[in-house]
Amino acid sequence: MNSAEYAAIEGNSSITGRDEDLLRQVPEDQRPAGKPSKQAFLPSTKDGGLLSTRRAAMGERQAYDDHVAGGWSTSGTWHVNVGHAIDLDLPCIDDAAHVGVPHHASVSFLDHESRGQREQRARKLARASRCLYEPPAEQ
Amino acid sequence: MSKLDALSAIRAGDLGPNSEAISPDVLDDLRSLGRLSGFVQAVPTADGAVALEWQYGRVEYTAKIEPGHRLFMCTDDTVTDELEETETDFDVSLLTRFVESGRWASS
Repeated sequence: MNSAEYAAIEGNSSITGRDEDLLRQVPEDQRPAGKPSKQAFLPSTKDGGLLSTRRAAMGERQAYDDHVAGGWSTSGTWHVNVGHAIDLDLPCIDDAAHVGVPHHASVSFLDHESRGQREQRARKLARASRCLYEPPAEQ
Repeated sequence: MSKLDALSAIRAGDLGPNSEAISPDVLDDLRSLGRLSGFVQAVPTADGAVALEWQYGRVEYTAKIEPGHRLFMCTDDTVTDELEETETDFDVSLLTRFVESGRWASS
């Protein structure tokens, strides 16, 4: 399946607003020197080439809280700009209805079969990303 | 806690939905490498692998030690986007050469 075929699945839609910042949770273990490793922006094999994010409308704080409430650890919410992803040939697709997760969106790596190409694009997403929300340090 | 201990402690789900614990194969291969150079960052992946990452000049280097004793290596020129990549069975001497010289070919 390629990105166009995934976007065409009933309920899915391409995200075209280039100014939107999608919300990505980054685990502490994938921030070895404070900044996220590209591994935090690379979909796993089980993710099938789709990097999981939430739409900006959810809000960076709510996206963080929802992730933690789901039982997963995260160091904070980081951004993936839609326009930047599109320029990297990584289409962004609203697939909330398809995956059954409110505000869910996927950044599609499906059009890049080479592992190196995927790593390179993840590196560019990681380098460009900035932290939008992280919880206050515990006293 | 050593880096290896920290990687060993990662459980399924720690890196997000569907993420896996670091595979025992991967931990064995990491132990065979011995002490990692200080410039190399060891980053767990959601697939149960460990990515060794470092940058020298404008080139970013990645060596992924993966379940099933597999090894993926990649060089990525951050200026020209020139890429080289290879996948093979895990080989400690090959990986050591890559870390020390940035090359996986012997010549």
